[in-house]
Amino acid sequence: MVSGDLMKILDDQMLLDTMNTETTIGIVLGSLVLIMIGIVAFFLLRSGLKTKKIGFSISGTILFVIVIFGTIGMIFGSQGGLDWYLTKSTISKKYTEIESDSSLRSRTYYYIKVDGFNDAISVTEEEYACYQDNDSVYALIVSNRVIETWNMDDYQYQGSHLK
Amino acid sequence: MKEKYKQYINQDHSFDQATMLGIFCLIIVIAGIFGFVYEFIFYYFNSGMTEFYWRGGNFLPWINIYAIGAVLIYILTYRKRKNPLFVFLASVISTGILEYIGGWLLYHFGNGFRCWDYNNEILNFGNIDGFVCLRSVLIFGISSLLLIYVIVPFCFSLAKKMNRNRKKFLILSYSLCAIFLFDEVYNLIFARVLSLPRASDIYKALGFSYMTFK
Repeated sequence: MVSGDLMKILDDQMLLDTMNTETTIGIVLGSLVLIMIGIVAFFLLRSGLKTKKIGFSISGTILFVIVIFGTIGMIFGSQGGLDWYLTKSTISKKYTEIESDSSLRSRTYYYIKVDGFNDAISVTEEEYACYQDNDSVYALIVSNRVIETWNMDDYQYQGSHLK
Repeated sequence: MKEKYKQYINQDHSFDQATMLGIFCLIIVIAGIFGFVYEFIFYYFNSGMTEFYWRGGNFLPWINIYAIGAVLIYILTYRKRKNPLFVFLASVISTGILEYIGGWLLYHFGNGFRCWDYNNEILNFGNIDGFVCLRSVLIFGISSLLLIYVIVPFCFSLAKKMNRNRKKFLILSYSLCAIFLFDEVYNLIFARVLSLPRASDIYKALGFSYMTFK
C-alpha cells in the first residue's frame, strides 16, 4: 500500500505533468508577458522612436534567440520538459545509502549510490528520484530516513509522461 | 508628460552623485521585488498550481540576482536607450551570462547547491546545464525593456520632482535600499557566522514552502 504522504507526492507530480500539457499555464503566463510587452510598447510609442522597425527587429531577434538556444541545448544534450527520471541504461534497481550530510543549509541530504550509475543521486527527506527498469518506472523515496523503492506502474507512468 | 518622456529618451540627464546613488538605490529595490513577484508567480504554475513558494533567502520579498542584473543592464544599455533592439539583445546576452556564471559558481563552490534548476521546470526549452534556458533570458530581455523604458524614467522623474526636497528623496531611497540590503547581509553572512535563525528557518516554521533543488 502507498502511504498518504507518498500518495500526495506522486499526485502532485502527476498533477504537475498533467498541468504541463494544459493550456492554462500558457494562457496565464503568456498574458502576463503580453502585459509587460504592452506596457513597454505604450511607452515606446510615446518616445517618438521608430516603433514599427523596432517591433520587427525585436520579433526577429526573439526567433533568432530561440534557434540559438535550441541549437546550444541540443549540442549540450540538455533535455526539455521534466527531467526527473534516469534511464534503464544507466541505472539498475540495486542501491545503497552511502552518506548523509546535514551541513548544507540545514537540510539533510542523502547520497544514494546505484549500481551501474557513476554519480550518487542526491535527495532530501521525502524527495524522490525515479528510474526506469525494463518497462517499469520506480521511485526512490527517502522517508523517515529510510530509503524505499516504489513501483509506479499503478500510476501509469512511463518516463516523465503518462502512458 | 509625453514631452518629458521624449526628453528622457533624447536628452542626456545629469544628476549629482548623491542623487544618482539614490536612483540606483530605487532601481535595486524595485528590480529585486520585481524578481520576487515573477518567481512567486512562476513557481506557483511550475508546481501545477498547487502551492506558493517563498523565493529568495530573505525576510523581505526581494531577490538579489535581479537587483544585480538590473544595475548591470542599466550600466550596459542606458546610453543606448534610443535603440530598444540593442537594449533587448544586450540584456538577453548579459543576463544569460550572469545567470549561467551565478548558477555555475553556486553549484561548483557550494557542494552541488542550486538556487534554481531548469532541468526540473516547465517551459525550459534551450536549457543549458539547468543554469539558463530560453524562457528565462527572454523574460529578462523583456524585463530589461521595462527597466530602461519604464522604471528608470520613473526614478528619474521622481528624483526631479523631489528636487526641491532633495534631502527627502535621498533619505527615502537610501533608507529603503539599506533595509533590503541589511536583510540580505544578515541572511547571507551574519546569520551563518553567528548561528542566528535565518529567514528560511523562521518562515519554514511559520508554514511557508520553499523550493528545493537536487
